Amino acid sequence: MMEQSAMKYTILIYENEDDFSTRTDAKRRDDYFGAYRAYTKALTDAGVFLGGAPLQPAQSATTVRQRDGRRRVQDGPYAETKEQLGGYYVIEAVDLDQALDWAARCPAASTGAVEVRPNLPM
Amino acid sequence: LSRCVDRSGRGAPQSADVSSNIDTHQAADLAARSAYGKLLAYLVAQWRDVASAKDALSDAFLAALENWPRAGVPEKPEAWLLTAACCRLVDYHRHNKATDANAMDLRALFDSAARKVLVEEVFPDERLKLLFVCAHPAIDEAARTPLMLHTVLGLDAARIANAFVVAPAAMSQRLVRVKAKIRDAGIPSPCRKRRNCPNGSPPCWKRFTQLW
Repeated sequence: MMEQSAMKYTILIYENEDDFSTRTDAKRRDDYFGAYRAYTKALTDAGVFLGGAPLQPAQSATTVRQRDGRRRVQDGPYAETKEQLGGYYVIEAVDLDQALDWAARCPAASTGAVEVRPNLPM
Repeated sequence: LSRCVDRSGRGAPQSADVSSNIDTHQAADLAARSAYGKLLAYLVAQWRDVASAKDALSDAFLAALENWPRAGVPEKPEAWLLTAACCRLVDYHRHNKATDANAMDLRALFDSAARKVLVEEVFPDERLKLLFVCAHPAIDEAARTPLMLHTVLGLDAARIANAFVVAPAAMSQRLVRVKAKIRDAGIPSPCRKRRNCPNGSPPCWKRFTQLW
């Protein structure tokens, strides 16, 4: 069996309202950010971390559409859903199973939902 | 080996008499029945793109029907078909400007296929691996059993649709989607320990064995 080349995957973190409010709750915020720091460290130590960012809550979002040369700007996220995009990681993995293993360890997997997408090779 | 499939002689089979034509068709038919799943499973285990592996294998069978009446049925039909399918994969990816990593994988696939043909007597049976790919939890549950029938047994979408009482177009669509997912998402062959498989055999396996 030959070696499969590594693929890039993006882990999209969907958090519910409670997760978002945890970030500003003095009692719980240390646990919240501590969990993400530990997760990021685990990814970095394993040498699979390629990038990522936490995002401000969905109410800070602005959605833009360019149609017929005119810009339409709308307050709010692209889609109103119970869980909203709260951040993302880009990682390297040999296959989907390995990417899913990492995704399952993401703190949001236990409270919200985590979506795994292969990056389009460019 | 790179010239394994001579596609220049499309008009040539007239020289063969009718009975040898029938023999050739029988040989191709027998190879299709006995080896289709094994050949596809081997290609998918190495290359993990079900859709292009299936296309390449179909082309290999077509080439066999053109070539065998003239040149005779090869000693190892499976090996001939495998090499022809690998040639098609190389062509396909050259055409689609494969990335360097892909090209290297393909090179390795071709080399190992050539080794199988020239050196090894026994052709590896990777069908169980292919079944595990079809049963991966990341694949839509409704598509798992149809995909097993489609790949390992080589049944077409219309026949599978009949067994599942859905419209052929819908089944065809479902199979196209799931093959694209396997290719793009990097669903692995189970060489590593499978942790995602729930206890016991999955329901899709049971249905597959019933339908078999």
